[in-house]
Amino acid sequence: MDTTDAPQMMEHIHKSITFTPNDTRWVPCSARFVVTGIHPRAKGALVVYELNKGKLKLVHERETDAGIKCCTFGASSLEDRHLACGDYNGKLAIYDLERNDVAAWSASAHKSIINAVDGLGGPESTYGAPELVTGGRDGCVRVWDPRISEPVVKLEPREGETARDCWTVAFGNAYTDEDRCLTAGYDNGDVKLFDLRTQTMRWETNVKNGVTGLDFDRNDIEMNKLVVTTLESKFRTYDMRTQHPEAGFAHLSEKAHKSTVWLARHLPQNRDLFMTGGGNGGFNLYKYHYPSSRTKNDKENIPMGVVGKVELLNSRVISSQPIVSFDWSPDREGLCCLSCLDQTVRVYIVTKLGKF
Amino acid sequence: MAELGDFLVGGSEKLKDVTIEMLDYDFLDKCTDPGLIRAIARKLKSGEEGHYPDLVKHAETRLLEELPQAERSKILRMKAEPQPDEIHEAISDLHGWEEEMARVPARPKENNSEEAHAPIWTSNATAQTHSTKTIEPPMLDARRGSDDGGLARSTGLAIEQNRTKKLNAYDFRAWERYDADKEIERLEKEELEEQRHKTEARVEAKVTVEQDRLRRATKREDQLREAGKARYQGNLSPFEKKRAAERERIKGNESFKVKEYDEAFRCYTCSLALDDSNPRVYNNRAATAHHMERFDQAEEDCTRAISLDPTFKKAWMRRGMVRHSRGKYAGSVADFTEALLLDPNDKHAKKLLEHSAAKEREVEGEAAGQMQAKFKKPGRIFIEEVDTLQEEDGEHSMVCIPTTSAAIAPPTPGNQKTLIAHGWMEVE
Repeated sequence: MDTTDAPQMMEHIHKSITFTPNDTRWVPCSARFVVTGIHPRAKGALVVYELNKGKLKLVHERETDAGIKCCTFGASSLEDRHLACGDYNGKLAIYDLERNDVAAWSASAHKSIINAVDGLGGPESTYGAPELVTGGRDGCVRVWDPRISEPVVKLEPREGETARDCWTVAFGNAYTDEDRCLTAGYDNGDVKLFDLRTQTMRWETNVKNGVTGLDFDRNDIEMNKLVVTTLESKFRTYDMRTQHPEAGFAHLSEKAHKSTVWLARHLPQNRDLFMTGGGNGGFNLYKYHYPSSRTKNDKENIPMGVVGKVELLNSRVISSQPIVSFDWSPDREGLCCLSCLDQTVRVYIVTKLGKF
Repeated sequence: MAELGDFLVGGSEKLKDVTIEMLDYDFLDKCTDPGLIRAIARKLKSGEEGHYPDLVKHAETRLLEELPQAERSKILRMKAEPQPDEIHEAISDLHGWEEEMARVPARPKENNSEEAHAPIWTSNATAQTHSTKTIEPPMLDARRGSDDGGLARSTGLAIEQNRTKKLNAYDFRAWERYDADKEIERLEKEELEEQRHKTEARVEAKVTVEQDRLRRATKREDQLREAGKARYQGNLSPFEKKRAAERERIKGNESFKVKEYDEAFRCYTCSLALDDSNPRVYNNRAATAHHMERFDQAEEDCTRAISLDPTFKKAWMRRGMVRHSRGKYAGSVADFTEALLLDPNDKHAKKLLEHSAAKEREVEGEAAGQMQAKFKKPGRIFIEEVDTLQEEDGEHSMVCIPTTSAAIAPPTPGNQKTLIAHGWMEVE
């Protein structure tokens, strides 16, 4: 690594919008991104902007019945690029951004708000069927194949128990057509890893604070690393390669942002770099350094994981309000869009990432 | 820049004690111990002693001054705002990219039939296990997770207690019959039994892990074998194929960097199955194969890369190195010469050329008669000791080539081992 250069974060575009943004995603293979959120009168907002010489050009706008909390292109082919949205009423809907009519597919997925959605099998993954996973306030996690109307897998709280609010979900480990895992994070700090191939709960832990975000460094390789962001200004990085029967996965814990760490996103072009966004309106860029050996043997010769280190490469505070969404462009290294609760969307350029 | 200040005073090391007298401009000016200044700054920031924004700023400035050079320059680098020309460059690059993206049609592929998709999971072989069903309790008590391993132990204990309870304290007759030694013996036996169970469980766990690993490896191999007719591949437009190939290439590079050569090799193979027009991928796979000591494969890939782009210097260089590893010194001299023709200023190529040429002379001199035979048996390797040459220009991190006498040795693992050390970290 060249030590004379730190990556720079430059603001390219700063735009105020008239609704509260909840999620931003790049449209794969384009210079456009979508912003979804909720209007003050509780209607859903979905707009598509295109980068145009330092300005944002509005190319598509749509209002939906209920505020949109989360969205993903993950399960749609490059040919379609349909956006799956989870809304405040628990509806999961897939919209064709090229057409202005009703949703291409929809299902009443949860009893109340869908907090998170993730998709797989689309343009960024080579293996397996297209699938969406949703996590809701009702404590349920459901997996959907957008070609049928019923969930293919359901994870529900035991009857009679208080349902914990599921805040975040993510797919991972999809490195063959059959292998696939999902993780879910809950408001009480539970993190669960469910293996969709074997239909078993593979691992559970509690990180002591509400889990705001989960991000695998890549979802289409053998599970490698998982970043878990939490309330109370902490995040954890797990090495997901080696699971010890008792100790589970090795992890490190790091402080950041002095308030809630809202999210972490790995760079699509380099899985060892990731950005975290915080409640203090700042974002931090980290690099993960692997340890010299990723496994060691315990007393009884059972391999257990060894975690590496994270290094802060740069950091900026850009708003007085939390950064609630962030997305790296899959097509251009260092280009990212993000939204803050001060009702702005911004486009940043992070330079020199190729050097790390 | 609040974050940066936090970074400055942050850190998990144990802090030195700070007294109230130290919270002072003069003290800070005189103090030269960065650890102490950091402790003071942190104390000030904590607000325990009141709120002094200027003093905090002063402490941070002082800390920056007293930090070791490396740390200071890192923080200054992070603080630095981008230069105007950097911004200009980045933005004009971006505009170029925007135009490029604008040319991509809104729908990269107009496809009428869409039967091309992966089967729904429920309909394939995994149907029974993956069909719609409710998994009951995902909501487990958080405390349970950590205790799972101890479950066996506590179960043993529970049995023990139950049995003891059966003996009523006032049941004297029973107590008369009670044989303490026997009881202890029984407990010990139970403990041993439990220990044995535990070991068995562990062995089993290990075997399962191993089996799982094997299964995954075979699975991937199978899929790659099918890559030529893979369903996903058949259904991608050329545009999508290129994109997927690019993605696999990036994955390969990432695996290569962390020395997961098997995985890197698979990713490159997959990338090539999708799009075999990129000489860089061939060159990267050659580098990977070189590391895995699959010299045949490495040389072949280099040759493919060269045939795709005869001006691709790195492929010539790589083939030179591979041929050197195989003892084909004449061939490697030719390759390095070619690389030098493409870039006469490449010091690296020059150095490698000299080494190979020296080696060739040596081999020819000492074993001229055998030389021809060697060429006919490319599987043989005759290098024993190697040195590491560090390349100054940083682009090629390190390359190892042998410098000592050419000992002719059979290709035992020990002999070839030393050839490729930690260099070669240059895939693209």
